[in-house]
This record gives sequence, structure tokens and C-alpha cells, in this order.
Amino acid sequence: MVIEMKIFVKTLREKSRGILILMVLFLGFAIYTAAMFPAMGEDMLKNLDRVLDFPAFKAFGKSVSTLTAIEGLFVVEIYQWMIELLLAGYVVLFAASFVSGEIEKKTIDVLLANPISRTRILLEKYLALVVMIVMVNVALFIGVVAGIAYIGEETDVTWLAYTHIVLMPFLLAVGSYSTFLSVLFDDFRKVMSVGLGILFGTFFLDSISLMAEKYAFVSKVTLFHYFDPGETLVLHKIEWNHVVVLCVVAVALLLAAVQWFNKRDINIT
Amino acid sequence: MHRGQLLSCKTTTIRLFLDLIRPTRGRAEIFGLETQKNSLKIKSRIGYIPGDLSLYDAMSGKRFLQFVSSLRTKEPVMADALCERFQVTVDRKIKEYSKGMKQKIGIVQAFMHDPELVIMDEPTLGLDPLMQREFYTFLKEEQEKGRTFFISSHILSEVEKVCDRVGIIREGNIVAIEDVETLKKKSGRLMEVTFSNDVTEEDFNIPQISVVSIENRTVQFRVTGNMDDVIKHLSHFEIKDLVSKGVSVEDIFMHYYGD
Repeated sequence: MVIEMKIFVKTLREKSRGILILMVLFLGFAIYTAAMFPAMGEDMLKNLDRVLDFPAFKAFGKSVSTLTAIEGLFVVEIYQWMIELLLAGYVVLFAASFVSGEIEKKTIDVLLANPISRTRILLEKYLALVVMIVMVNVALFIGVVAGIAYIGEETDVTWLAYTHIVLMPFLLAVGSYSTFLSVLFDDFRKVMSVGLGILFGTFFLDSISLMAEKYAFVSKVTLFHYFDPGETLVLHKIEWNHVVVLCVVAVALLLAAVQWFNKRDINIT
Repeated sequence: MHRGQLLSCKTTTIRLFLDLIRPTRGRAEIFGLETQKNSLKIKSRIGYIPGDLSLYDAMSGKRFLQFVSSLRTKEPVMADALCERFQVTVDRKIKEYSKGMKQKIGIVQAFMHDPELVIMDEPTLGLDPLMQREFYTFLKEEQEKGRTFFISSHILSEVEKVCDRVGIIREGNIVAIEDVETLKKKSGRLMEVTFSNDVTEEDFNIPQISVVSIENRTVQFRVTGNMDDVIKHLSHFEIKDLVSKGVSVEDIFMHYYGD
């Protein structure tokens, strides 16, 4: 009998409801944001631009200096908040259960009693994470395109697509560190807390560091430093070295997780 | 691997066999293969019932069995027959099952792909007495067909019923591994004698006797070797009562762990 990718399928099936909700949420919110844009009025958007000039808020816009163009609004409202915090948070939770969830629920014994390697188990679960990210990403892309078309605005779809491509390494890097934590600790809630703590902690570290140029270098230790969707969507630029850093982090942490999972003892209490 | 059972460090030993934990020193072999290096080869030939069995609650019994069989290299040829025999309802969600029904699913998944060896850690936990009896009958039938079991159980009467060979581990070392019958013979008989007068341990200082306990004038001892010598020795004392019985696996266990 050929061994099918049943762990991949099982992982996706278990998370299917959450993925579907997230896809609908992102698609709907993108259309809603676009629909809101004409009603916001130029004065209000210019006021928001002034807010973005304050160092404390600049971090939320990064490369975006104006919200009077729809791309700027999308970057601040969707790509920064929804992706960097909401979707990345979901990615942390998704990966947190990979190993620690199986240990906590004590199902790991039945799983590992089968002739399937630990490497394969982890990689199939990670592949389910990749597919989840792609699905939500595609839903958001469709929502943005549909929203812009709905209000009769225009945008460069190619750069919009590039923006969605550079989202991937960032979210995969987040997924990899959560996978690593899931292999490191047995307690699912601990993995979740530490994973979300790192995400939110580094988000604010990145934001605060950008307030003073002298300390801007500190943000380099965070994944957020290497992810600037506004740069791609608004300025039509991609910092390839940043993309490479995120890819390296994603791969290195995934390999470390595989290595540790293969090495560690599995004890259930 | 042998038919038999293990009486201590049992879960640790089983987890070592399944490569769930790695030894700090020494090695374990199944089918002549080292368990860590050949873990997948070994797992393709065995079935396993974990001691603290936990299944995927969100799945139905049927989907769970399909899921685990898809991870194996052999077809689940015995699944239907086992479900019928143990009256397993496969259509409901596992979270709705009783402890006994979950245990029966555990038994089915361990045997359904017709493995050469089945490792079982407390396999009858949660089964009602009727189902326990059915399970023992099933094991006997499978033994006759040549299937090998490795059972760890704290129910020593279960061990006597099911096992041919018993291994006893103490502080990480195998202190005995024998056929159950040979081990019982070697362990001799247990005698409980009540004397009319006070006695001390020194009164029984002959090689055939090892004293287990002295309480008032009642002495419990284990007899190995020639019974005639023991009776002749005891004839020097006035005896009020004497009970002699063969040892059970439980007595053997207490012999090894009693001190």
C-alpha cells in the first residue's frame, strides 16, 4: 500500500473551519475597507496622514506616507494589522499544536507507533500550514481586487500580487518558530503563550525602535523589520535581501524543529 | 521478541521498544533489529496498544481506523472481523465513546493489519469482565496461530492466563526470564505453618527453606528443593496447622520486589 499524505489531510481537515472563517473574514474586510474609502473624505485622510507623521505611528505605516491613495489605506488597515497581527497570530496557534498538541492530548503514542518517520509527520503538518497561508492569502487578494473594482479605483495588480508573494516568507518564518516551540515544549498552552508573546512583543519592539533613529537597529532582531508591504504595494520596491532573510529564518527554524523532534524523547504524563 | 510479560519499568521499556524514548546506555532489539536504528522497519511489523490510550476525539471510529491504516504498510485485513467480534461501533465520534469502547478501538487498531508481534500495555483496562474474557480467548486463538504478544500488566492473574514466558526487571536489569511454569516450579511452594511453641528464624536454617515472615507462632516460608527434607526438619517441632500451596506469578513478583 502506498502511504498517502494522510497527516497533511488530517491537519487541514481539523483546521478547515478556522481556515474558512479566516478566508471569509479577510475577503469581507478587504471589500469593506475598499467600500469605505470613497466615504472617508479627503480631509479625514489628510488628518490621518498627519498622524502617520508622528514617530509613534510611523511604525504602523512604515513606507506608507499617505492614506489618500487606496494602496496606503490597504497597507495600514489590512497588510499591517490584519496580516502582521491577526493572521500571524493564527499561524502561531496553527503550528503550536503540531507536536505539543499531540503530546498534551496523548495521541502521539498511537501516531508514532506507525511506520512513519517523525520528519515526515512534522513536514506534512507544516505543509498544511503552507496551504492554509496560501488559501487565506488568495482570499485576501481576491477581496482587495474585488473591493478596488467595486469602487471603480485602479491599482497595479502585478505589484499587488508581489505584495501577496512577499507576505509568504514572513508568515512562514512565524510558522517555523511556532513549530520549533511546539517541538521544544510539551505544554500546548505554554507554546501558545510564548509564541504569541514573541509575536506581539517583537511587533512593539519594532514599532518602538523606529521612533528613535538611534535605536532603529534594535528592530533588526524582529521579523517585522524584514516585512514592509507598503514598500512593495505603494513604492513598487522589493528588498530582496529582506525576503532572503525571512526565507533563511523559516527554513533554518523548520530544520531545527525537525532535528529536535527526531532527537527528543516523547514522554506523556 | 518473546511471549511474556514485564513487571516493572514496563512503560519505559515499551516506549524504548517503540523508539519513543532513547536509551542512555544499552540497546534493545526486536526481530534481531536494533530499535532506534530500525524503528520504521520494526513498526511496520508490530501492533501496539498504549497503556494510557488516547485517540483522536474529533474522528469517528471508522475514520480513525482508516487514518491509522493509511499510515501502515499492510492492509487492515482483520478490521471488520475484529470490530464484529468485539462489538465496536465505528460510526460515532470517538469523544462520544465510553472508556471500554475506546479500549476496544485500541485493540482493533493494534491487530487489524495482522502484525507479527503485538505490544500491549495494560490491554484490558476499561473492558468489562465479559469483554476481558473474550479478549483472553482471542489472545489464546492468536497464540495458537503463532502470533507473538508482549504484554505488560499489573493484573497478575491476567499474566498467568495469557503468557508463556515472563520477564522480571528490577532497577533496569532483567532479574528473571523464564517460562511461567518453569519459573513457578523453580520458585517452589509456599508454606504457612503455625507452631505450638515460639520459633525464631534460626530454627529454619536449612537450604531448602527461605523464611518470608514470622508473625507470632505462624511462619510463612518458601520451599525449594527436596520437600522430604523440609518435612523431616519440621517434624522436630510441634505443629498446630500447616498449609502448602503452589506459588502464583504474584508470589514470584513479591519475592523479587518484597525486600
